[in-house]
Amino acid sequence: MSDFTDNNAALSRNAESSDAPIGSRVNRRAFLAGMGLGGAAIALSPLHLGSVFERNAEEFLLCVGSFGAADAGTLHLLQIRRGKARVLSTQLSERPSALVRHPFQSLLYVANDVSLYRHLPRGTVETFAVERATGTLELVGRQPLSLSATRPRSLAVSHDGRSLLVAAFGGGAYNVLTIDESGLPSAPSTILKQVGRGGHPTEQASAHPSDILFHPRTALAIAADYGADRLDILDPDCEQPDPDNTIVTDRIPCIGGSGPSKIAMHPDGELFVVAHALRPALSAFRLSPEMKPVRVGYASLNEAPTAIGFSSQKDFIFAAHKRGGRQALLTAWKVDPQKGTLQGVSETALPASEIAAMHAVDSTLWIASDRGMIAVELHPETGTPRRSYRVSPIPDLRSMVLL
Amino acid sequence: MTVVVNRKDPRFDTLKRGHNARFPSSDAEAADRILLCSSPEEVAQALHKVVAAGLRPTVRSGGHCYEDFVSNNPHGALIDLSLYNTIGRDGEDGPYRVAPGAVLGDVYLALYKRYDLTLPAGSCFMVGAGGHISGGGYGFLSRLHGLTSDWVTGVDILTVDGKAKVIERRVDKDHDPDLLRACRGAGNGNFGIITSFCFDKLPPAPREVAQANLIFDWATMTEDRFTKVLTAYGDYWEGRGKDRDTWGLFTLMDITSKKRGHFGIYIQYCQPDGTAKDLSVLEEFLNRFDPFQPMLLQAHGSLISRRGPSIAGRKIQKGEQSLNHVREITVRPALDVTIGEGGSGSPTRGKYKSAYMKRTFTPAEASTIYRFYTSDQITAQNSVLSVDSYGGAINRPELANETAIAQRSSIMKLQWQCYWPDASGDQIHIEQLDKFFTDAYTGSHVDAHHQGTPWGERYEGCYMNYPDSDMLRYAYWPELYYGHEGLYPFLQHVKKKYDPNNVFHSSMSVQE
Repeated sequence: MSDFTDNNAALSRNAESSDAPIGSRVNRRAFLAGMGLGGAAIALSPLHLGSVFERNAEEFLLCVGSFGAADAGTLHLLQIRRGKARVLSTQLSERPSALVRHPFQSLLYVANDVSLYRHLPRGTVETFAVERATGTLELVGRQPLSLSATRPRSLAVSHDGRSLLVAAFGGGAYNVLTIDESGLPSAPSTILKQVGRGGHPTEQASAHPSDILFHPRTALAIAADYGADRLDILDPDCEQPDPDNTIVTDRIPCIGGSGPSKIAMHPDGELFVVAHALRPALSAFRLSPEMKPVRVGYASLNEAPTAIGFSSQKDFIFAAHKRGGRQALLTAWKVDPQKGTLQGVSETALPASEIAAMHAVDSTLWIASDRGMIAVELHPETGTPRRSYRVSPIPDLRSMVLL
Repeated sequence: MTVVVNRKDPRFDTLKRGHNARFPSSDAEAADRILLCSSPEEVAQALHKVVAAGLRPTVRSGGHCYEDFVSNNPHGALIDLSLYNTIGRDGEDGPYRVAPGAVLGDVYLALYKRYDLTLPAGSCFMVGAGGHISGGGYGFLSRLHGLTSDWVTGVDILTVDGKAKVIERRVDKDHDPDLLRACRGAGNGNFGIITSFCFDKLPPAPREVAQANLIFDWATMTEDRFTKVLTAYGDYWEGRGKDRDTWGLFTLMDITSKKRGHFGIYIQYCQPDGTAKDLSVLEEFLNRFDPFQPMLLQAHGSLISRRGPSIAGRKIQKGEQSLNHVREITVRPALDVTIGEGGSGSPTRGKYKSAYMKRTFTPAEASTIYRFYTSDQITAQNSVLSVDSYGGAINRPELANETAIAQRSSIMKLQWQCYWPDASGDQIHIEQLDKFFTDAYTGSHVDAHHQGTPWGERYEGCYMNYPDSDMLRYAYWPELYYGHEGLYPFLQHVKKKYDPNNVFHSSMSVQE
């Protein structure tokens, strides 16, 4: 049994104890108020966050989702041990485009990139129990999204584990799903229909929320809208919105026609980087004390980024680029966390055509690609890629999450 | 001033409902607020606020939508147009205008009293003009004058552009003609909020109409006899009923359970000049059913007849009363008939289906209908299959390319209806009605790729104003409602152009 498994078991036990971690017994606002913090832009304890995200870099579980022409959708539970991957089990899942885990329960949420569910135009979110003892996943529920919230592409769970945010790319909507005590998301408690367009006549004819994540130190979420060329700041704790009260606290326009598609948050929470897919670029944003994103860095790219991720050394960000029929490219960028400047430091060809997701664990970057799982060893001192190799041949990977 | 009714308002529980009491499906499915608007300006302001807040708007005129398109709108906003109900004319010789919140009864009265005109619309007095006209509404005068949407020459409509701005459009043949065409049959809940229907001209109101009923006794109705009655009815519309001199004839066959004792045909007729002086067309139709010895209406009265000879009017009788086979025709002022018995009752739970027929009934269809209505199924006892005559002026082929109603070859339109009082009946009635419908269109009379649906050589699909979400299970459901001649791709193009963000949507709205 890995150290991480022990950690998680401890977390699960804590969740049932009287000194439960964030959100397990009190609501998010009450918890934060109890910490002497208030308002939407309150800081969470880094110590607390650390306990959730700690992993043993030598051995851990990873789940990847695949779908393609020959595969309607599969989740693969992988055990990563000393740089090698072993498939523990697989489970059917319809077009798993995004994966996210509950912060302290052994549950995995899967966005199903579908346009119809039970004949109605809507996407869905599946919930799987992660059975660590047996190395299996068990489907425990499938929750439809709101009407027209089709093709969800991104998920985020609040720090207290009580809200699941869904970015529905196809239908141009955000859904907030309340997670009950058993970990199952309910019907959408908030539905936010997005309206917008961008400069690209076909790709951006309407809003397409494509990525969403929670800020690590506040209860706010940041989302990228690929179709509307903007970032949306959401406060899911807002009371049910009405015409005078919306959960969108801010909208930040991006460069016209740029297509903001991915967001990577610096672990400190003070800076985040946005990948633009249509006018290839990376933008760095800092958050003002009022939690308003201010663009501080920008780097244009030659090829469209398909995935981005910070290194575990924090001040490097990696971007994967699609290059037509050629091998995908991994570029490394040095980020000045204070100024937000981006400085390219290396380029590495990868044994794949398209990269869907990446996560850094210690000195290795784990990459989900159309040609399988790829490990990129990072130089322990410079943080730049040293060598890459395929660790699993599973094709058509579209999503990944570390468990 | 827009009236806002939220969940705390004592009016909310009443106003959240549609006419179909199944919706909202639950309290959680109801819209969180209802915005009652009294003018186009109020509608525009309300729509702007709703869109800016990221809420889904649904739009209600009369509230008679058969499915959940309007009343189910969790966390959303229901924009109610019922207080915006003006009927008039631009100047002395300008186009006629009908606001979406006007109910059909008021439309008939206003058009008649002010202009001596009418609209070939439906028979339910309380149905709102907004959904009815934009969805291709029809009624007793439609064989003579076409569909309501056939007469629409312009609409005022609010759309939402890609930047969330509400655009006020005055649409006609010279301005956004593609949107005009889309709103002439597919304008309900797809592209925007229609705030006014414009008609350059309207048909003259008829002076009088003749009415009659044919009642058939289930007790003597073998399957063979039943098949012959249906065939006689269908044959007429497939043959003689296509002749122009019959276009003033409209009939409605209501088939109900054997346990109700009888079923029948309601007939209404007026000549193209708006009178009912020469009833030879009507007599000819009635004669067709003499071999089946229809019963005297008064013996059974109110169950079948929604309109009829038991009321005052010029009466023409034929037959032997002693044999209980008397036939009675009543000629009445057309306005009395139009608004006299057109209430749609109190809200109740219901399920509906529809089919356009291009040919008469097959023995297989008749057999399915006979078996259902002579069975002990509870749904049979709670349902009625209405077989309306169709065609005539509706079937002018050129209208298929000018409007968004593709069905221009049908001779009958069928409406399956089932009603029940409470939620405990939902599952069984919805399932049994669906099975009945599916059985009717399963067999050699339907091509292999469309089994279970009214589509193919004999059929022309379904009617969007009688929406049936069960049809969503067929991947080709848009074909059922919009045909296969390119109308649906056209509507998709219009949708993308005028509602690029799909602000106006339902489970059966035009999709990408």
